[in-house]
Amino acid sequence: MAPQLLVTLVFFIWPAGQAVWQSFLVEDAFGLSTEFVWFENYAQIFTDSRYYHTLWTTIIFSAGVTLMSMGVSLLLAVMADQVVRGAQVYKTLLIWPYAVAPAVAGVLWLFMFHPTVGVLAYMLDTIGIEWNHFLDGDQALLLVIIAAAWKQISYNFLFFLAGLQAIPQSLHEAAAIDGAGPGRRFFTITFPLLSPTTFFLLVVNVVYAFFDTFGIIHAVTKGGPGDSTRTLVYNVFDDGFVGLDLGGSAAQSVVLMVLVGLMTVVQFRFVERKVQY
Amino acid sequence: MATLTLDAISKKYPNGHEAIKHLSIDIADGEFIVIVGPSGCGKSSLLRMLAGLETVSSGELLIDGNRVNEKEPAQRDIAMVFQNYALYPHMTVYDNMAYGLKNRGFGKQEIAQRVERTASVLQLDHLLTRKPRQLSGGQRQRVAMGRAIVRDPKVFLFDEPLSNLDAKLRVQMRIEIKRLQRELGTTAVYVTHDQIEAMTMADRLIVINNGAAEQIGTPMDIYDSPQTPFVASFIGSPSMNFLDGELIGDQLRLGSESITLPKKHEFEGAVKVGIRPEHLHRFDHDQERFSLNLNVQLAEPLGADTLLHGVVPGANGADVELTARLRGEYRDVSDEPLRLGLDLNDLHLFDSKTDQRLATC
Repeated sequence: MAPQLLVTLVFFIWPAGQAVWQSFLVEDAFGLSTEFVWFENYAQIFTDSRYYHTLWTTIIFSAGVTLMSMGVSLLLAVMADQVVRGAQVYKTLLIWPYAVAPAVAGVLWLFMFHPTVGVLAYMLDTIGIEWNHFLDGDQALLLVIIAAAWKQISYNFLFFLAGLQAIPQSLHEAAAIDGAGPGRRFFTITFPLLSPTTFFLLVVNVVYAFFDTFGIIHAVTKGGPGDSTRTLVYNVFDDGFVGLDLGGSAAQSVVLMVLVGLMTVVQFRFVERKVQY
Repeated sequence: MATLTLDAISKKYPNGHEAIKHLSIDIADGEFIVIVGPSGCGKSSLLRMLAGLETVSSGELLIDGNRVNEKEPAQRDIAMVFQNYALYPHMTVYDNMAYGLKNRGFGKQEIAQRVERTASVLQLDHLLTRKPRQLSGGQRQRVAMGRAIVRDPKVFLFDEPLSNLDAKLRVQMRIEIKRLQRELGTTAVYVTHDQIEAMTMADRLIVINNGAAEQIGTPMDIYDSPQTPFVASFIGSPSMNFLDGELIGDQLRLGSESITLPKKHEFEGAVKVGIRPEHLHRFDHDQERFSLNLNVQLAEPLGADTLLHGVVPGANGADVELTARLRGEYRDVSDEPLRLGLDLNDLHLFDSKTDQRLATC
């Protein structure tokens, strides 16, 4: 058997199979007895209004993270692309955030926005905005979106910059001669030619926002206040390892797996076709 | 339709490199100008200055008498065909051609009319809905032409537009571009390093070397009386042979021989003697006053002609490489040197020190 197949089997198929198996079981809180309950765990998820609320939060969170991180990094990439002197320095500085651990990134933003000691919270206060994400759920959601997006900007920046540099200079020149100003050139030439990169990053960022942001949320808000920053992944952790409902937690993971599978299929089937040229 | 005036145009890059040195020329309305020179000579920089893609360091650039030095490319009303065509890959052929018109605020109907007219001139009618990647090299080249023509600009600029095509297509497109330019009567500036394109297409040629115009003139002028050895060797294929000689009165000393020249020169001293390969022929005892003994090393049959590469004895007994172009087939297998003759009026003489053509008096 090929080694890569073995790796897939051990590190993906087996744990995923375990999760599926677990999702059909109910265990007591002390792990002493286990009962096979068929789809009872799933039934519970889909009749729980709190779960739907979590799903909605996740959608807002993911859309926010994706839009913000891609928008900011595209802006940075376009500007870095025009830098002639010291371009390498800019690139290096912009790539640094990627080396910061998610929890550290979360704590960083937590400190800056901290209602009592935070620099940014203080500045917001001086312009009349009262910031307290420990009490205000919307502000808490905004904060985790900013922290999660910031973490992803470096990655997006690298790809956007590579995409921009792959566009031949002569196309910009031809468009300039064709009478298109800088803004028009960006929207009619540069952005359409970047669309394969944009699509790829869209898939990566949505998956990131759905699955990879647990550390940041855990460090900043722990899902609160209330349930305002409780995403699906956070819910899996909280129900499983805090609430010790392992069966229900496993069922949620399986739902998540299916969800991401579906999203990726939809993206590739309906969006990818439109971004090739 | 426009005239184009370059008045002492120079280009100096921030690193101190001088790409173009004080170039001046008046280009008449409808004229086809070819800028030719080896790679790195500054010809592309010059074209990009005309287009407005590079700034002019000093000198004046006029289109139709108006100074355009500071104008953006879009405001100069020029069209450019790029070496790699620079077609917009995400747009159809139609949109590629319509893009410049849309940006300039033309109406939908006018755009459709113009694009369709241009497409039919270039036989692109059936390709209008295709994307560039679905086209062959020659078709892409035509779309690039169409994009330039459709706007009816004052000046066409061509940046080595045929260098990405295969040999056969290149000849075909060469003729097509020339014919189109004639029909439209639009002033054109065409950059190439290919001397055949330069000769065949140009009304006037600018031969550039190291950023300076070595000679400006009609192709036949430049072929017949090149001003410098560089121009002489660059225009004409295969390139001109050079032998070292000495001019004393009307006597030209070439190796061990002394030849009486038919024309007088006001010059005495060391000269470079240029001989075009096609001006050499098999020696004919009755007429010739001059002959060269060529030790043939290699023969290249071209069909109608044969190129002979070999050496002739030069000054100080050193061998000098020489190429001759003879009519018909070359079948000589003997080890004897081949005697070649030449009409002395076809000799080109250059001052060895200044590299300038010697004037006759």
